[in-house]
Amino acid sequence: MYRYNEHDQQTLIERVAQFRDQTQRYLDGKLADNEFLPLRLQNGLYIQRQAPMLRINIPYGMLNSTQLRRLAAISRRYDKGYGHISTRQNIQLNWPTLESVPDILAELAEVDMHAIQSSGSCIRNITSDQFAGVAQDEVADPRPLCELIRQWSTFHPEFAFLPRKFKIAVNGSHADRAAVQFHDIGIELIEVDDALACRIFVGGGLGRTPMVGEVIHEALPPKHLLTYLEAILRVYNQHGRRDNKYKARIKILVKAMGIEAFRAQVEHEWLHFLKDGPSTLTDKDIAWASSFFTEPVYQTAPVAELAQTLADQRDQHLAFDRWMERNVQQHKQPNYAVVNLSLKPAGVAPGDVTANQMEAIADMADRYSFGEIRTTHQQNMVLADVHRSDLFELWGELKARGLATPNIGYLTDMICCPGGDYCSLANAKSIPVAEAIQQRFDDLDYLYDLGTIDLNISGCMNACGHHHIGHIGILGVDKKGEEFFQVCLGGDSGSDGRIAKILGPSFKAEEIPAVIDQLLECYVGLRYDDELFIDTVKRVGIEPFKEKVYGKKAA
Amino acid sequence: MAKKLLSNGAVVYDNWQILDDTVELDKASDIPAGKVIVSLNHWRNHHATLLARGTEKLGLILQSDQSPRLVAGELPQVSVVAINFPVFTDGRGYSYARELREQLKFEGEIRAVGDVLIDQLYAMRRCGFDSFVLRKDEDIESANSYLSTFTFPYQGAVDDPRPLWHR
Repeated sequence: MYRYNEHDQQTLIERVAQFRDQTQRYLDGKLADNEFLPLRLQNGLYIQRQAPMLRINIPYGMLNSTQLRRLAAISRRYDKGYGHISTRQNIQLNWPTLESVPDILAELAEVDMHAIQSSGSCIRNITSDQFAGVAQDEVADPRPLCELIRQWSTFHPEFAFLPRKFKIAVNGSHADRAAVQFHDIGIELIEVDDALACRIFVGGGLGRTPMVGEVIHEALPPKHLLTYLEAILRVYNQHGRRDNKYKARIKILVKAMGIEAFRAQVEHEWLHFLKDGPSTLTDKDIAWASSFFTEPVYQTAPVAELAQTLADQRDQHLAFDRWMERNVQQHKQPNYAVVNLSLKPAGVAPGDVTANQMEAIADMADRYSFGEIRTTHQQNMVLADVHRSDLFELWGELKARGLATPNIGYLTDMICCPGGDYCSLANAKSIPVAEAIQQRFDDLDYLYDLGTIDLNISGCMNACGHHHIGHIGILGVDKKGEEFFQVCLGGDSGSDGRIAKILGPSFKAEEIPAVIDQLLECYVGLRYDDELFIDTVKRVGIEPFKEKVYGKKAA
Repeated sequence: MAKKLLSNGAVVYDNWQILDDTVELDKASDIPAGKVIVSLNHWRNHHATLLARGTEKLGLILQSDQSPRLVAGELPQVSVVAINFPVFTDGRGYSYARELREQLKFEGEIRAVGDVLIDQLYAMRRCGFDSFVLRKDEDIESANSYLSTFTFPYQGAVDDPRPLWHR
């Protein structure tokens, strides 16, 4: 469980007062639109197509049941009774009124929640591995360092007005579940000579100019992490472009300077002015940061017949077996399992969760998972600490709530931004495309046969749906006022980070399911044995897929 | 009406004149009497004349693309460095103020000028600014309370270099 202390609570109270004052001055005409804009963005408040959109932080994707119940109540009282889990593990409300936002923030603050820096040209809230602390392949729990970075970056006075938004992710496992190579700064925890070190990537990102981050430091001792981050941010704050918002991200600066020159500037700033300064971390500091996360009291004694009972249940219930296979993962504690709740049943916008579901999930978390819930980059939720003897019962309850679709990691577990139905930036409506795909591919046997496929959909090149790093990516584009969709192939968000290649000319929305069908047929024809879709694409390249979809080109 | 500024938490009269590059100073005699804050150009062009005035009557104004490192050696010759915010969303000045205090050990007054709004005073103060010429339409009389929005700042800065967990 993640808990704030009394300093955090006081800060949240003061934040609510600050934003209430700012909102009131705006409503009174004392604060101009352009002056209020960055203030409200730094509080996660966008003015959107239909209504304002409020993005509420879920630090490292960690929620407790009290918080989730409060979110449910807020979404009912101030919104339309549902929320949307974003690809950065946050939750968005699509229909609050501007006037009600200070009250929403006050209600959130009561349960240690807020929207601080969930948007705006500042350091955004920190993201991490959704399975931190329970993953079997963990080198080190990334959350204590995340927490130190959160505290360091919250209302950082020097970096409140950066050239552009700034996203930091930390991953502590062998598998990269935080996409560290696609962040402004990505931190990978590694072991070097039995000691923990941070491999630091800089200048990755999606959006208009997708780039894989470059390594700026191979193995930084954790004690230097904050001073080193400060050096990077200071160089960026002074030299990042401010004349063109499309060229203002740190990736453009790193590319323009070259990683060597950029590193030299950072090292100069760090070695001369920051290294070993007051923000240098001691072991005690890191232990203190760990104290924000309490580990559940696991039952570790072996349970008689546990494995046999589960095996019997799986034998007797095919649907339960499917769900176990797809939605349940190994836990570092042998008696426990990690349970993924799919927010991607057919007919629902990916990542949407209703107030009733939130409350049900909170209850299930209390009963089965020590009162803790997590949100994922894939826009799902997780009960991370479920005793294996409870799985069958939990499955039944999840099924009744529409949360047990056994499609985690499958084609229909797609990532999708809110798109043109809600977002004022979007060129195209992404949700109807997602729904059309879900409807076409609702045959679980076929999905099972296809195996893991990341399908990511963005409604515009800002890439909130991470289309560049989907195995299949779909991007909404505008052509003379008409919506079209570009398809790209071969992206990968993991440690072998790569950006998808565009397949060819774009399609109309209604053509997309058939195009996906052709891509899948092509894969099925080309794959070796159990080869995954992405591995086939890597092996054969995109040409065979191109031919399948567009036909053979005249030489 | 005399101009006012917020200085170390108090509203006081501003008896400095800013001579930026929009003011033409063709010859030394064009420089008005009294306390002046001059641009880097004027500083370079009239250095000797200005120095004769004495440190306590001299200041420099830096634009948002002018790092204080450009004048590192000359800082002992001035008692004020003003940092201009052409627009409040240009955040370079925050880094400049910290550099002045923490790296160049400047102990004089650091003054925020330009698009200076009450909502940014707290961060500016933490970065080492100690006086603020607010934009004309801002209510300077109520500005003081905006200097101390939060009781427990998390990270170290000029006001307290220790992070919260070391305090």
